Amino acid sequence: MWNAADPATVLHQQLASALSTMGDAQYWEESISPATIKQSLLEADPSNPHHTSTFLRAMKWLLASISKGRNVSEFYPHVVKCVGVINLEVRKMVYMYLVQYADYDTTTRELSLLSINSFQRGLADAEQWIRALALRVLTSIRIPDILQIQILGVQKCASDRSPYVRKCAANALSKLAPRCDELQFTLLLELMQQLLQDDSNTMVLTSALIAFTELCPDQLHRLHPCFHKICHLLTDFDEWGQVVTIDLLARYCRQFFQQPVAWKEGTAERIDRQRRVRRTLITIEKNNTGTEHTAAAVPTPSLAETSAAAGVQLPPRIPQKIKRRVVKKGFYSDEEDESTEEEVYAEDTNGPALPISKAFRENPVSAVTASASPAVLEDHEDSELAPDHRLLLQSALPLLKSRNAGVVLAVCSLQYYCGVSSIKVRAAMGKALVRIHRDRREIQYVVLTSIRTLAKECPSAFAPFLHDFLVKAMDPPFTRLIKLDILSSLALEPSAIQLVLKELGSYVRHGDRRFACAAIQAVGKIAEMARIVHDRRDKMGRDEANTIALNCLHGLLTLSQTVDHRPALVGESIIVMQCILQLLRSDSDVQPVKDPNHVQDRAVHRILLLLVYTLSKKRDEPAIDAGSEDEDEDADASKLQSVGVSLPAPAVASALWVIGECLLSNQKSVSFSPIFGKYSVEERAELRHELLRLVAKAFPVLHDCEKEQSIHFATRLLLTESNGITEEEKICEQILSLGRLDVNPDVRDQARMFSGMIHAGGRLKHDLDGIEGLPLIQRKLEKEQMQRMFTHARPQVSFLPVEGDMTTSESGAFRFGTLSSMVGHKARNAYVELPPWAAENSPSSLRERDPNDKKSTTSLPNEKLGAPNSQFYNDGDDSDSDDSSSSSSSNDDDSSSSSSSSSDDSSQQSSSSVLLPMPSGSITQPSVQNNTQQEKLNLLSLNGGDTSDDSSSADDSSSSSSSSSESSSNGEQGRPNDQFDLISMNTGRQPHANDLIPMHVTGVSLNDNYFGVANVSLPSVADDLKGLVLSPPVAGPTDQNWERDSGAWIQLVRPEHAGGLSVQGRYLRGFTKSQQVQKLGLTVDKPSVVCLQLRFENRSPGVFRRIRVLQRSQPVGSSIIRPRLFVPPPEIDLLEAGKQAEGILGIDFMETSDRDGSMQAKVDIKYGTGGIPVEIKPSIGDLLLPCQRSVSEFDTAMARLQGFQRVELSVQLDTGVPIQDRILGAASLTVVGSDWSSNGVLRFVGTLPASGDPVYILITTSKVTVCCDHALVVSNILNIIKRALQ
Amino acid sequence: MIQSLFILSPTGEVLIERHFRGVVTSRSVCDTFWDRASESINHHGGVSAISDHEELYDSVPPVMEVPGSDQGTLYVISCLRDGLSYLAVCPAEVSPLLILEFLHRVADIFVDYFGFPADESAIKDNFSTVYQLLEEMVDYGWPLTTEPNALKAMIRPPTVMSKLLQSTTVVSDELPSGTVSNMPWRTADVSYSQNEIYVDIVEEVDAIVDASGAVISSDVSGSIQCQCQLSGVPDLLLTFKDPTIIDDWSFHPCVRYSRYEEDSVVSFVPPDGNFELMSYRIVPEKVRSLNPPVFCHPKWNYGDRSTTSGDMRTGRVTLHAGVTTLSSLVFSPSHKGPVVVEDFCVNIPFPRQTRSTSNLRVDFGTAVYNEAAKVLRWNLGKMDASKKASLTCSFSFVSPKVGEEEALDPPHLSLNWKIPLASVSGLTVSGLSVTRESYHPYKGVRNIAKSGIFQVRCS
Repeated sequence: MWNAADPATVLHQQLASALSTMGDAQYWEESISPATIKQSLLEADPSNPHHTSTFLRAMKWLLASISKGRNVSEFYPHVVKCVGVINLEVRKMVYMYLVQYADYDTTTRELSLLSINSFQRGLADAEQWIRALALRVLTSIRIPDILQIQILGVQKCASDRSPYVRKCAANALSKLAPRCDELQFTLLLELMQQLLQDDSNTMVLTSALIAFTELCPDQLHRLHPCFHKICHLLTDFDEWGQVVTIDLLARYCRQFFQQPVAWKEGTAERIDRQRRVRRTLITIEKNNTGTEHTAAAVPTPSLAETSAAAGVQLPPRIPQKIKRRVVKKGFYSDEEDESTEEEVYAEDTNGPALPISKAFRENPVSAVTASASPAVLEDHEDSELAPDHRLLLQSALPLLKSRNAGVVLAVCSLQYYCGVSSIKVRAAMGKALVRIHRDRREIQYVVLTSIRTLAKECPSAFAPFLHDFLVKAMDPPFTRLIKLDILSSLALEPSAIQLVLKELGSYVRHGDRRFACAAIQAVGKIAEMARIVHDRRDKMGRDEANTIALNCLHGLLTLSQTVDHRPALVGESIIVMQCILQLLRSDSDVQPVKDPNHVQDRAVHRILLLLVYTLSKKRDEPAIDAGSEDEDEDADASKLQSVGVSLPAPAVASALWVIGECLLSNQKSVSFSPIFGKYSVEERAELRHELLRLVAKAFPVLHDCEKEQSIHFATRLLLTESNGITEEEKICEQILSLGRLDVNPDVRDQARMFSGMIHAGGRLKHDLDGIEGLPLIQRKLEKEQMQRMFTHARPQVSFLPVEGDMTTSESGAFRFGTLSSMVGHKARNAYVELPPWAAENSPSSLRERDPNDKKSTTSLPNEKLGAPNSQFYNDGDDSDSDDSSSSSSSNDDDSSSSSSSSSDDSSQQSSSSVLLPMPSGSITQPSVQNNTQQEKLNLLSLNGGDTSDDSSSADDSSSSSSSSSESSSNGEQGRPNDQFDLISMNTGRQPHANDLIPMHVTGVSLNDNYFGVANVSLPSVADDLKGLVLSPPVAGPTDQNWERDSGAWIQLVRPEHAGGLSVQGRYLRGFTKSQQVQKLGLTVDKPSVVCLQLRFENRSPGVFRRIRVLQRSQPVGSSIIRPRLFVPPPEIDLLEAGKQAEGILGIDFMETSDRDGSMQAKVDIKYGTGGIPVEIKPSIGDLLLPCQRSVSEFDTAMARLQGFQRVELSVQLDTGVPIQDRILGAASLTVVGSDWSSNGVLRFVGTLPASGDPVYILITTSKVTVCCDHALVVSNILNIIKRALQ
Repeated sequence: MIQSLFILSPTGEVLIERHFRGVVTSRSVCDTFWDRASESINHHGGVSAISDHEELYDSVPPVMEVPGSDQGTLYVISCLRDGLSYLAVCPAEVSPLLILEFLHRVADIFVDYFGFPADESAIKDNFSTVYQLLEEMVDYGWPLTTEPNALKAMIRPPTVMSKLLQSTTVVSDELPSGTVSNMPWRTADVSYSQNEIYVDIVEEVDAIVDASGAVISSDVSGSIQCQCQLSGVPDLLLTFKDPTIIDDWSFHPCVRYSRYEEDSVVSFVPPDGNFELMSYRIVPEKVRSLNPPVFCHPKWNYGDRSTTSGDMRTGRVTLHAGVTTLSSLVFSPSHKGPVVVEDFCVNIPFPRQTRSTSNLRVDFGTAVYNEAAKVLRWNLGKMDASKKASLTCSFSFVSPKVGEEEALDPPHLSLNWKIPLASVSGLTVSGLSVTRESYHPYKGVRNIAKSGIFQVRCS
């Protein structure tokens, strides 16, 4: 839109339209014959780049054929040979095809083996994307024969330096799992565990966690060591991973933490408990009026669930009598000025609908809750939680603001099932859910389903958003019904009731029958709720509630008259009318309902009219008694013609019950007596008689529920009416006998039972057929007893949920938002239920990473694996990634923990003593793939002296044994750590084992020491070998010595600048640098690579979270040399006060230079929410490369350099001063000879990084001489020396 | 996890089929789905009747159980976009929202690659790219790479040239570096000769208005859309004049959540290209006092009810529409002159029983009746408060028979409108600063107020 005038765009568009025919659509046509394709595939040469278009065409045609549902497996042999085609796009399509058909039949399976080699090559590609692609395709091919190769590939990639490849490796775990046997599966589990624990890249973790849900969703204890890490990194996960992880953590939370008090007793929950409308409350009330329960059939509109009102008038406004009490703190904690709101509310009670709702939204807490003083607990509700429990909840909470609805819902689920029910949390949940429900209609559907569940349990959270749930015209049917449900559950305030009823008024005429019926039911529900809501408000509220109910009744009455062409709607309204009538009647003896307009009378009339019409229509021969209707139904008869609608069966049953209640009611029972007051007793008897006659006539064609009601009606009539009604008695008994012979067993049973009882009372006189066969009741029943049984006041039919029957409580129901909850059954048994709360909190030490703990958990399965698969497992088994540290030794200060851990396990030690001679011996490697191993071993023997029995290296041997014990016992294949230790031992220059591990996280506990202390990590064998083979074997020390191989510490960040965080760095050199560089994935021995050890120290009283080093962008083109690759140390989750942590930063610069300070890397050191920019500018001294000279060579070369190439400086030095250390601290030099103490002469040499010219430095007690071919450098170096000496 | 993904054309034909977990899902699943879907193809025949949202079929729930032939029950999670049905077949428990969000993301990516609408012909024309995209986006049924910037680095969007030269590959030879960085959403090494960023604050008004013009419910949702063409890795800071207007918000992953929580400023490193920076809801007071800028008063007359039901009747509809002077919108300072509503359009869906219309008369704009969809679209174009418009139209329809349960759906009109340089909430940007990069980009910020789902009830 912004550059429409751009001529290039115009041209582009024109071209596009001209070429629209050139798209892929042609492949959908049947214009190309399969033979052509086969031919072209045969002829083309994969290695010829000119044939790319042929392949492209063929592959597109094949893909299009797959899309069209055609089986093109016959092309497999031709496609398989293209697997090595140069063009990447073609190759990708070939891969897709292969994956689709590899497992198709035996031929393809065999042919697939041909392609495996190509993938294996891909796995070794320099480009991470190729490696990832190769792995993904390799692991997707489901041929049993190659499973081992696949596992090997995953193992290798799990320790790849690219996180993307590691991510794909994690994904591959679940691909392989279904095909693995037990041993292999254990291995996969272990790989997963390693990725989880040692990786801190969010991409990798995400996939590892997804693999977790696929591999072992129940073994939640495996999450212990990485729990903290996951919580801290949760917000950085990708959206999809967040959904899965949060669900996993919810289950973890339940299993390992105890139920917090504030879960069921939070402020919000207490408010909701008072607001929720449940059926038990009614029962309690009704107990006052003496309700009894019997087996007698209450007309239960089985369809009914909810109800609704047509054209309902708003109830007349009744002035608000009670001043609304204002809760100290509203449901929304951000409410500021309650007093004004109260005024608004007071005004609004007489105002139009809109402002009322406004007040409702702002002040949703019912007056009842005022006594609860919810503010008290509010801020401390989560204080009783276990710290880790709280950490989990808090790290998930910000994700409520995610743009991804799935994440938001997952967080809500976590907070609801595992969190505290505080107002703050619940309000935030409500807001977020309402926000995401405004998404596309499919998403809306799922969100609304969840809201429906929640709205019943915590209505307060959603009450302010009532307006958002109004049904819109384009809402699809499935959404409409849910919205209706939500609306009716939220009508908990007088203003809300008004609003909802008004809305229902327009819904009840909706074109969708189901929706309209549901709306009618909702009216009934609201009428019922209104009573409870008003009762709670004050004693006088009952009148108001009754007015609402009468209005509903009136609305339904009107509806039943206007939609008379829609029987379902009329029927539904009759059912609901019956319910409302019963509701109104329920306590009319205590407090008569004021009904000035006789709405109840009119409703009953209408019901009667419809009933009579329907029954008369149902007679077998409708024409027979045409005259009698007019005769009997005096006033109403003429109207009957225009009724024109037959009620559906449930409505007839309902109507029959109501009319029965009206007609039969005599004197003492609470009844509709006022309603039929205008009829005389005679008229009533006549009506009764006529109705009975109609029922009896229609009985055979009635529906089962109608029959049951008819029998009930007849029974009551027999019982209640006194003598002189022989005619009617006969009809009643006929109905009963018809019922006794009915085909439906329910009807039959009911009729038989009732007949038997009446017979026992001696009141069955006329139609006694079959009575004798009945199991008779022996006892004589009194009339009063029977009357009590049949004619007492019944509990009304209720639309409300029953208290205690909480569908959302865990038992039996599914968590909201899950697939299972949507379909109502366990989806393929993969739904994992939320475990019950733990009896007590698990100790937090579980989640601290304990080295010994780790060892014990991982070593066991490893040993089990052992021999049979060793040729595959031995290399890459230990998949530590570059940035990981994981060794058990990292935390141990006083001695090498490797040795200590080895002493734990003497059997390991003995095995190691067997192993040690191996390097010098000849070993036959079990697999070709391990030929690198061979080289390594050769190398070892090359380096090695006689080591096996050397008692002086006991420490070393034990350390090596420990590392082997740590992994697997098949140490002969060489654990990487073994190799290091062996080498250091062989060179004999490393006297103490604990010097092997000079670097560690000091100050005991970082919670997670996955933060890299890289020197002790176990690099994969592949990397390890590379370093060993490539580096010159004898050039220098080949062990790691951090103190020796580093410069002086440089303060990068001063604590006063960064709130107490101090960052120091020192440049690494020599062998240690090579090792580190290699672990970081950078090129070893490249002069432009700089490796910096960083030390973070917290000198503030607080803690630092999430300390990380980020690269800043640097402009191109200046004279400054920028970094080409930047490998930051892993993030530090938490640095407590007084603690230190360390990490390795690797930088590969674009090029090197001999100019001092021309290489610069700009980085940001971030912590928590702060950050500080730092420039990393290695001086020329740090960049010098080591070189070897003998003393004589040195002297000769130095003598040659004169003039500009030589600079001298007079100094006064004392032999007592450790000059050598100082110089070495300042510059990366190599010492030549060592006779400072004897002769007072020191010689240093180094090589310039760019030109490679050597630098010679001669220091005597009186003079410093620097010589170099490169004249400019000389003075730079001298300055460095000068500074170092001062 | 997704076992298989199908994309169906508006006629139920399978366009794209992809199996991710090694199991080949039988196409009978699609048939079952389509059988159910075609039962509920709505009477507006797939033409957007009341909004811009596509409504091909009506009552197919997005989560559906389908008996698999030999694999037990399968679950089809579906969504409808641009006439295409995207079906994800899942074998077991999975978060339905995860799948739905993902399907929509896939469709979004298609729009991003092939332009709007990504309909049947677009998919057919680019199906090889579609397959490649799916390959990168899904691994073993789980989402893999879904950030547009990262995808574009791997698979170039099809261009004219690539179509012209069939041999030219769309797969990038240079592999991306962005995905491995801390910012998966941003392509590394972007360079523009002209650096510019445009920010649109779009506020959509959803409302239900009754026939007399009273607002029954209203809701405003805002979003901030960015078009970003900035070199390097810029760090942007967006500040609002009055952030308290915002009640609830969600962000693109590039935004630093905590900064907003603390200082109410939006700090982010933007993706390259178009994206939605944030979406928000404004405080309820602003919404509740909303006075819509347009009005439309419908009057439906269904004629006399004939005594013999089931025959033809003639009804009549009359509409009055216009722009009110009393709207509660806040205008940008740069806005001058009278309020002008653009793209004002009224959609009038007729009941399904309608057979024909006649005597269509308008005194402003143009009105076209779509016979197949039974929708009358009245296009008023640009309007200001000085004009009033009216429309009358007769229509004949079959009166529903007694007992048929076929009521005349009370039609709900929907209104579309747009007002540039206006805002419902008054949210304005007070500053947008770029750090980390040395250039000074061109920055454009504007407000737009428009209709979301704005409907007028006629009953």
